[in-house]
Amino acid sequence: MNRELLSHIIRFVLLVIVQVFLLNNVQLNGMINPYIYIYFLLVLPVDFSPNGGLILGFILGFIIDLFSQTLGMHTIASVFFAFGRPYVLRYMAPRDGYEFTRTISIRQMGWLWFFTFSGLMVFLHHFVLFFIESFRMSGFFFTVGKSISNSFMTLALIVVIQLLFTRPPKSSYE
Amino acid sequence: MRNFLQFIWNNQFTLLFILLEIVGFALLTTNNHFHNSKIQSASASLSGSFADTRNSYAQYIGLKEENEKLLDENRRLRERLEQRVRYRLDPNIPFEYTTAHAISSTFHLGNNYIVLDRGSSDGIEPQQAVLSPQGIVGVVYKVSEKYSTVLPVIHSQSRISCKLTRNNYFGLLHWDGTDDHYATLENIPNHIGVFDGDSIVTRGGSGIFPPNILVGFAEGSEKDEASGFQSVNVRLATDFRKIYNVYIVENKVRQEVDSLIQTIEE
Repeated sequence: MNRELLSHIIRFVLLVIVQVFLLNNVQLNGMINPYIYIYFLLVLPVDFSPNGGLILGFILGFIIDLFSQTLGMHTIASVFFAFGRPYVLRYMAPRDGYEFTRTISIRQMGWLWFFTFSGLMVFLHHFVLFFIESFRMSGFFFTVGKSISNSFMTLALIVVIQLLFTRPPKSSYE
Repeated sequence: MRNFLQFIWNNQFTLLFILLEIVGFALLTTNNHFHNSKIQSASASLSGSFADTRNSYAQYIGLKEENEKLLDENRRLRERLEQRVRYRLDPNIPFEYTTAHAISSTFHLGNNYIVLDRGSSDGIEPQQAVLSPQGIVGVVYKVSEKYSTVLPVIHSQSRISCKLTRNNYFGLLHWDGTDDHYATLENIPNHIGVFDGDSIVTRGGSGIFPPNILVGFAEGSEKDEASGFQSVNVRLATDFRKIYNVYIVENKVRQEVDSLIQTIEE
C-alpha cells in the first residue's frame, strides 16, 4: 500500500515537471500541445474516493496553472475531469465489475477498453480546457478540432508511458 | 434541518464539484481583470525564475540569428540618427527605452503571454509598450520585482490603435485567436483603398506606444457594406515564435496626456 502511495506521489511530481518544463515548450505547428499531466488522474485506483479525486484534480490543475500563467483554466478542466471519471468508470464497468483489478492499465484492462476510456476522458478534459480558453461559441468547430488533434497527441504519450513504465502483473491471484 | 444535512451528505460529490469549479472560475475571472494582481505577480515571479534558469541554457541556440537582427537594427538606428541630425528634429523625445529578454512566451494559446526578465526594480510599470527589433510586441501587464508579463498583440483582449502609412487613416488592431502571424485592423472606411503590402504603424494615440512603429503589412481586406467599414488583414512584422530581445518603452509624458484627455471627457 505504501509503495503504491509512493508511486502515485512520484508520478504526480514527474508529470508536473515534464508538463511544465518540457511539453509547455513544445508547440508543434502552433496547434498541438499535449497535456500529459492528466495521466495522473486517469490512472488513480478504480476504488479511489471520488471526493479525493476532485481535490487532487483541483491541486494538480492549480499547480499547472501557476507554472503556465493561465490561472483557473487547468483547474477548471481537471476538476471537471475528476468529476466525470467515476461516471465513465461506472458506465464502462466490465461484466464482472472491477474486483480483480484496481489499477487502470493496458495490461490489466486490454487495449480496446483502455483506448476507449482514456480517449473519452482526455477529449473531455481537452475540450473543457480549450473551450474555457476561447471563452465563446463563435469558434466552436475550431475548438473541437483543436481538442481532437491534441487528444490524439496526449493519447499517444499516454500509451508510450504505459508501455514504458507498467510492469506485467506478477500475479493477480495473490 | 435534518433533511437538509441529509441532502448535503447524499450529494457531497456533486456539491464539492460545484464548489471547486466556482473557485476555478473565480481564479479565472480575477486573473483576467486588469488590476487584481497579487496571485498573478507571485505566479509571474515563480515561473519567471524557473524560466530564467532554463533559458540561460537554451539561449545560445538562437545566438547567431539574434546577432543578425541586432546588427540590422543598429544599422536602421544609425540611419535615423543621421536623419535627426540633418533635419534638426526636437531632441527632447519623451520615450525612454529599456532592453529586456523574453524568457518565456507562448504563441499557440487563445490568450498568449510573454514573461520578461525586467521588473519593478528596473523601473518597469504596467501599461508600458514592448517592442521587438521587427515591430511591436504588446503592453506590459503585470509586474513583480524582477519579472514582468506582457499582454502581446496575439491576445484576445489586446487592442492597439494603428494607422495606414499610405493615408494616415487609423483603426483598432485586434487578434481573433487563431493564427499568430495575422491580426485584424478594424474601422477603416470602405472607400479607402488598401493594397497588399501597405505598411501599418502605431498611431501613438493611447500614449503607450511611440508613434510610427511598424506593426505589419496589409494582406487583403474585407469590406462590410452594411457598416461602411472594412477590416484589413494584417501580417504581423514580429514573429512571436522566436521572440527574444525586446525593448520596453516608457512614455514620460503619458500621465500629462492622459489627464488632458480626461478633462475633455468630463
